[in-house]
Amino acid sequence: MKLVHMEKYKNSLFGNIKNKLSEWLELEDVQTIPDQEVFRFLHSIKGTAGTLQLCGLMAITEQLLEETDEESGRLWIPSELRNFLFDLIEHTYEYEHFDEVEIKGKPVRDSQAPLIQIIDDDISMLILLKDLLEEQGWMVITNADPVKATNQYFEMQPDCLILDIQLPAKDGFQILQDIHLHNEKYFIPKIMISIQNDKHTRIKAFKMGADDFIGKPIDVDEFIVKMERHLQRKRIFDQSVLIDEMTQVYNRRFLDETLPRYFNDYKRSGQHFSISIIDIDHFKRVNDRYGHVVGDFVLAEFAQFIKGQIRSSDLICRYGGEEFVLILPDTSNEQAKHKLTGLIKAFSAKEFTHEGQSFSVTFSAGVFTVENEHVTPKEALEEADTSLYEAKRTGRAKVESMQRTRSTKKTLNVSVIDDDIIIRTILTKALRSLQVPHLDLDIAVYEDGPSFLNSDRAREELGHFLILDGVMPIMDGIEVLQKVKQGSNADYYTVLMLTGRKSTDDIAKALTLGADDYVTKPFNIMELKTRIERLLTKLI
Amino acid sequence: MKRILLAEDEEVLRMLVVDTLEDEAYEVDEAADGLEAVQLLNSRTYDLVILDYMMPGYTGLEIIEKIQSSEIKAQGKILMLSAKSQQFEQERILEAGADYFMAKPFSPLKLIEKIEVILHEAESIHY
Repeated sequence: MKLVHMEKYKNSLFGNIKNKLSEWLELEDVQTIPDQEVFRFLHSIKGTAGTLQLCGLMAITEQLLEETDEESGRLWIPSELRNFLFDLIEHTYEYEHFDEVEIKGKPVRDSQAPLIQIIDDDISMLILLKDLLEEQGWMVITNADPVKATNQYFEMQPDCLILDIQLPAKDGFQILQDIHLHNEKYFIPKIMISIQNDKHTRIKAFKMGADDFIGKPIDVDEFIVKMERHLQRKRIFDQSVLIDEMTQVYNRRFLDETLPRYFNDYKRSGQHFSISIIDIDHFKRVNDRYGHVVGDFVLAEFAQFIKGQIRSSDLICRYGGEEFVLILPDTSNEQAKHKLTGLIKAFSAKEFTHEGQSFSVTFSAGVFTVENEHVTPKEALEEADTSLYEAKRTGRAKVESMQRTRSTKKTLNVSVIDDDIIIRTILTKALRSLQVPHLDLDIAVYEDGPSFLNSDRAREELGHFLILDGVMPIMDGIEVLQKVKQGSNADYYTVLMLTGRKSTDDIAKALTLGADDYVTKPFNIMELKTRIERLLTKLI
Repeated sequence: MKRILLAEDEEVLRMLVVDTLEDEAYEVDEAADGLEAVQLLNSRTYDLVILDYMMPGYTGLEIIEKIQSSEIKAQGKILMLSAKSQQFEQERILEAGADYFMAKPFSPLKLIEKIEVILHEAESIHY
């Protein structure tokens, strides 16, 4: 007997499931669905799934069936049913978009995955490299526009940079020059790629700070091995260093190792101590206005200033970006606030000059005092961070300590535009489960471009994270992106495009039009979540 | 050529079984629910009737009742498919008048084997 074409039946079954699910998902909450209908639907899928040896599907339906009953007479509200059937919705999505081999062969990237930045205006090359590197389990951010890319480099601080020499507007050498000072202090492997592979070009690249040079056309196997080596060295380097190169104070790794000791000391001696998170105000403006070189200088000066003003028993660490952690042993909450207020005042008086222009910089601080045994280092940092956020929210250049009070979070609009109800449902659920500090996500979904563009929300002057399907029937995603970018509030948007794997033209268009990132469909849900989380964290 | 009726409301399963049976050179009619099945059963006689237990229109059991009460033409053998695989359910189905029972989910290969045995038995009784 021939049963070669089992695929055909599997596809039909999932097709039917998808249709039924879509029909239910589209319903408004004023309508209801009888339990009997749900039971029969699940029941018949289960039988067929078993015959087609779709074990995963059978297990899901079996479990769901336990909570439905042909005779119950119960009526489901669509939103309840959506939650109830979520596993089935997700499974259907995964079946439709991945074959089993692909799921197994593809490593899932987590938040610890190395971040690689590629700057290349040759979009097909960029896509090829991104695919190749992401297959290895690494996360890749890409940008075709050199100016945007340089900013992205400073903001995201990748673990490795891949840079094409021939770029429009600003070539690879100029970018190397721009990030030169930053690079002297940070170990970030930089790999130049170029079609121009002569000795002169190679020497120039190395002299300017490149760590590797790869000629085009790229040999894929060699490229991957080289990347593995670079990332490995980066990892070893990061693990061996305890001093932040740029600011010459302890780094986060040191803090992570040292902090628990203060808590142990407290348990033993009962001697309270304070933790403060301090953060330079409007640091992005400094970077934008005076350039990243000046920004880096301000950071280093700031760290050294604090270091010079504290006791030898106090500890200052760079926590990340323009954020530092200060630990003040044997210091009460009042004393800590007093000390920091003094520091803020003194630092604000300091004058910086750049090309004859003078400017001053302020900072804000959040304080938490450890006064009981039950608080963990993580909680203490979160409390201090919450207070810092409050200090920022209520005017900056000040210190706040709001032990045991809750902060008001900032709201970020997050909108999803996709014509596929299954994808909308999955994305909404993924977004709802995201935990981003200091951000309340206001999530909305739209089934086409016009209904989003005509919404009041689209015109709000508020941070807006937009997840946009590239291909939609009513208005193409590219057109939606174009319209968003033409709006007077374009700067408030961060756009993540969902594109087809093979649609190079669309990716090229999206990136040129100013999309901040793209993800090819089908996407892995966990992975997309991690990516969104990373992008959102940068938006605060 | 042996003639079979398949009454099964799940479209994909019906597709699969019909294709499989046709590959084995049986002549197959299909019904998507109990009503269609009754119509077909009234118009011709089958060597084998495969009935799903749970269908809209009439259930498999209701159709068997109709055959037994001569409301529908007499038929050859009856094979009932059901996800209710407990012993007492099986017995109930067989007592109600089905000749054979097959638990869902089944492998298409097993179904073919079973059908071959059923039709072969039917022949040997005839002659």
